[in-house]
Amino acid sequence: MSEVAADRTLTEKGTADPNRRVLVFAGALVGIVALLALLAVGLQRAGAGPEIGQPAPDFTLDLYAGGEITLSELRGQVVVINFWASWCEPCRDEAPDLERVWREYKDQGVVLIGVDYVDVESAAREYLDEFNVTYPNGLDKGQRISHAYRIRGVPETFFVDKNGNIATIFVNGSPQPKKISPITAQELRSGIERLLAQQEESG
Amino acid sequence: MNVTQERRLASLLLALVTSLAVFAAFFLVAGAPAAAQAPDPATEEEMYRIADKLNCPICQGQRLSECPIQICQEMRAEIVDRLEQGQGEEQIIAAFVDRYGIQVLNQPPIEGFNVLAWVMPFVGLVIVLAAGGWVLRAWSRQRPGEETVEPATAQIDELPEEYVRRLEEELEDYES
Repeated sequence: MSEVAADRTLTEKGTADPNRRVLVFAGALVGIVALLALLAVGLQRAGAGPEIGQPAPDFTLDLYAGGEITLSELRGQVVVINFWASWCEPCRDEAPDLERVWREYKDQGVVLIGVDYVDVESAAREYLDEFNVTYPNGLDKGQRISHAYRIRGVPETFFVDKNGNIATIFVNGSPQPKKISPITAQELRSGIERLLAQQEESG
Repeated sequence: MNVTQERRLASLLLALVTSLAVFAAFFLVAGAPAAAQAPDPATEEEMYRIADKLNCPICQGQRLSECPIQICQEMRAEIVDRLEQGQGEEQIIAAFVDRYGIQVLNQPPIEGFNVLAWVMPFVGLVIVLAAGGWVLRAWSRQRPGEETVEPATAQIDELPEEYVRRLEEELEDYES
């Protein structure tokens, strides 16, 4: 047995048992590729937020003004969910537009919800006072809602249709499940109008 | 000293006293908010001790005590406010966990699922050591029904002369 092994060693010029080496190498390679693939799939799944047409993740938000609001109780209404924070500079660009459009549509079956991402209460209240914000706002305690919606930063805005599904937002003509930069009054109005025109599915 | 001189002195004194009073009042008013802004050193030290146990909720792996961004500055100011209101460390940390989630703690509490974070490294170490030991033992163990495998030099001695010569030649080629 040992002689056979030695024989092979010599005929192959010192490369010990090439078949076995190739096999071990191939096995390790397959293992590493499999792990990387698993990692990629996991990362992609973790990074993907709610898709267009999928049910919007439900949540209950304790409001700064007192009381609470639950998304699933707003079926039949058009809901705009805006993630913001008092320390977020770009949020200041959209804050007046959000309040303006809210006042235009609040009596037409539209609800605007401000979800405050990581904030200090006093600073948040100052911000809400500064922009005279009257739509419901609350702190996302423990960042649970932000995580469910996989936000990457603030501001981000989602539209939820009358059936509680994530609706399309057209960003420069391309359909998106959310708007990542400050949203304009025009984008808010056109999105809301389109969703108000939709019929609610019965059942 | 005539009457006009007396009057002049009196008005001078009055002006002096008034300006001193205004001066003092100004310092009292200006001094008060300045004192409110800067916490006393003991409170600040206590704040940093607590902030050292917390994370910045936005950045990855940065302590609240060291994080320079706005929200962290505000959170540190809130700790000072709460300390000045007489709240204790536990109360403050509990309030922060409620607002920012358990991930605001830089050490997970040793309870429930989080026990895993403390136990798993040791479990991993034990598994690795056990696996390593097993592999070493498997390598060094003689396979049943097989002769003891001698080191390569011992094998070479048993080889025919021709092989040994070729091996040495090729080794020389290889080294040169």
